[in-house]
Amino acid sequence: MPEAPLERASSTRQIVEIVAAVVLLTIFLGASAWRQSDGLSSGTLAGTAEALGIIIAAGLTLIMYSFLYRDNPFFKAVENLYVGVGLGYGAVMTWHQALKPEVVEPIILAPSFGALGSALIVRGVPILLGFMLLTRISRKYSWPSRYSYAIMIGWYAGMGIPITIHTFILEQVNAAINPLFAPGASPLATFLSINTQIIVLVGTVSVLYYFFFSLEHKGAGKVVSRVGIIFLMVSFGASYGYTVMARISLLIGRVDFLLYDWLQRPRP
Amino acid sequence: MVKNPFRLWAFALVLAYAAIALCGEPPAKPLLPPADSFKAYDRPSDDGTAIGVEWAVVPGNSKNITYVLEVSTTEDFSGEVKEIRIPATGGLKSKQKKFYGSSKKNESLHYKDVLPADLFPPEKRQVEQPEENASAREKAWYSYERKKENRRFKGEKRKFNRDTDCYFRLSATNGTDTVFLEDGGVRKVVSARARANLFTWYRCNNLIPALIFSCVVMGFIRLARRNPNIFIRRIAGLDAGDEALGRATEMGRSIFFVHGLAEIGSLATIAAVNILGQLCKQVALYDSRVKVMNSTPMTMAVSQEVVKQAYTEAGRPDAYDPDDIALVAPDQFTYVAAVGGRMVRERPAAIFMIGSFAAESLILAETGASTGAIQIAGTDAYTQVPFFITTCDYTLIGEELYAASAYLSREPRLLGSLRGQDVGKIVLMAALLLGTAAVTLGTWLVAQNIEFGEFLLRLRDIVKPF
Repeated sequence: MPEAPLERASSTRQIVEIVAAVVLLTIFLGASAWRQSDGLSSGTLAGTAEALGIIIAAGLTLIMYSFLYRDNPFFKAVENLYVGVGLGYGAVMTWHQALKPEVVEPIILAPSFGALGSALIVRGVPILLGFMLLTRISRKYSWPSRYSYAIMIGWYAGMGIPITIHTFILEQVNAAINPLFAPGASPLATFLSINTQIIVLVGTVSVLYYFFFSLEHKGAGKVVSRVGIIFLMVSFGASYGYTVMARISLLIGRVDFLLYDWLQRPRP
Repeated sequence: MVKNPFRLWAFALVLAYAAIALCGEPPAKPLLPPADSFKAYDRPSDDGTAIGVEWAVVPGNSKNITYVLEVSTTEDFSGEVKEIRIPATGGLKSKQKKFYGSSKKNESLHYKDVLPADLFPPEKRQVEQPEENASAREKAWYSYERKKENRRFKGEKRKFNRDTDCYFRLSATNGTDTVFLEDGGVRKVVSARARANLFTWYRCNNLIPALIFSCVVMGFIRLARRNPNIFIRRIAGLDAGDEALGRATEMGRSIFFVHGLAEIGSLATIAAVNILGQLCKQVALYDSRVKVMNSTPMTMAVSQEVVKQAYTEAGRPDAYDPDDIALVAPDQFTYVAAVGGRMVRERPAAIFMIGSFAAESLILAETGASTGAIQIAGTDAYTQVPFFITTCDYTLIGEELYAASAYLSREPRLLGSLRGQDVGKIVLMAALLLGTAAVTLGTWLVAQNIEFGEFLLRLRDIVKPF
């Protein structure tokens, strides 16, 4: 089915945006030439390269932020550059971390037949499975790839089950089981301890009940489920705030780069 | 008359100190445990690297007493002998719950793990390193030789552990006096050999629940095959799927299905692929179009298979286009940039973000929201759920994601698994409530000096993870 055409911006808005882009580009180039003049005119290759690197990084950062206004050709170009660099980086990493040390060096560059034999014993089956994955290129003969996928998914699932039981069941249950109070503690400490442990118990049990799918949540079950969702929302709120703080630190890092590396502002 | 009383007091003080130093109690004599309590054995549940040595705690030994454990590979200790020093107040067997459980008698035993191959390591050969400008073949040779030597060295250590008996003698010292553990007038020597064990007993609390729940799930799968009308409560986010699909069909726009970053092995991604299959069956019937955004080749290939199967089952194999299931980008923020860009340019009518997400979740969901698309998200990454809740129209929280594929497909295997998981939750709730009651009662009983309390407290070790 053909897709519906997308709305286009009005011609007046397009003209305003082009003018704004030209002005911003001029300001950016002017600011870069002014603030990075020391590096650009240093006369050394290293100094010039560093200054150019900073200017390019600042430009790419600002273009990425331009998406906050709306999609634009600069963003599209940088997005494609980013995707290309990401893919290229991934390819190089795969070569250096997997193909070269695990396939090329021990098999293609095997120093002796003995070494080749011992390498093939360990790596033969995984390499064969890898080649079977490549059969997906052909639509007609892609069936061997399914064996590779089946083995990998089974492997992952098998590896995952004990880890899941360990991490999400044993550790959690062990941490949640605590005495309600410590004999001999002060009345205030006992009161606080009982309250804390009851909150933990009620929260855990009600959240578990919220994820119970075999019963309709009505009557008393609805109340328990409601309590569970309240606990979930409280924890999500805390998690939200915590993560936003971490993201702000990323923004601070970029602003720090723009102010002190690109614009060469004196550090306080 | 004393001219300066301060001098007199100082002199008296020095005399008193000297008297205490000369006539004070000598350092405590070291005491030895009963000879029959000194034992050596293969450490259970390990890979054959360690021998356990134990002896009874002697209550009279103070902290300045040190036990000296002598280790040799010859029975008469004629060869090389290594010494291991253990303070008389430390090294209790009860600290080794992982290997020896939480039995009360372990509190009255000293214990030491001895690693024979570390004490008497085999000789390691040096592999000559090639020069900086050596050829690739020479470097490959070096790499091969080094790995071969490492393998040989590990093999030698294993062989040493497997083939060598270790002999142990015990003595105790306070720094000046040393007493030797004897049996019948001769120094007591015990021996043991490290062996690799087939079974890791301390993982039983992992294996047994896995086996029990597997049986429960298989039982429910059989039941679900006989009666597929097993009740599953309504999941709000999934009912919205029809709404999203209808909107996409009406608007003539595509649906985006964003998988997230995890590999196909992730449970969330497997659940997402199941949901994708069910969604595509309806997409094929409505003659709409779904575009799947993948970050790993494996997920892409599995998604292609699933979508193709769904179109075929819906009777529309001609409508399947493998190019709609694309590998967008392998890197986290590259993926975000590419998917975000496509969202803005193509303005899909609906966006499903289902799978495992990390820091990219909020950026994707915000971008999707800015396009006006109806957004349905689902993830088991609990740190990302808040972002989806705030930016998406419907969110499948945690396990709802796993339940969703069963809810949509009514597939007996998934229905049975879901019912089995519910049984698991009942067991967990009971374990929490009963466990807390037992531990509370145990703590109180211990405070009243009632021995049964310790038994109740030790019950908690059943769920202790190692």
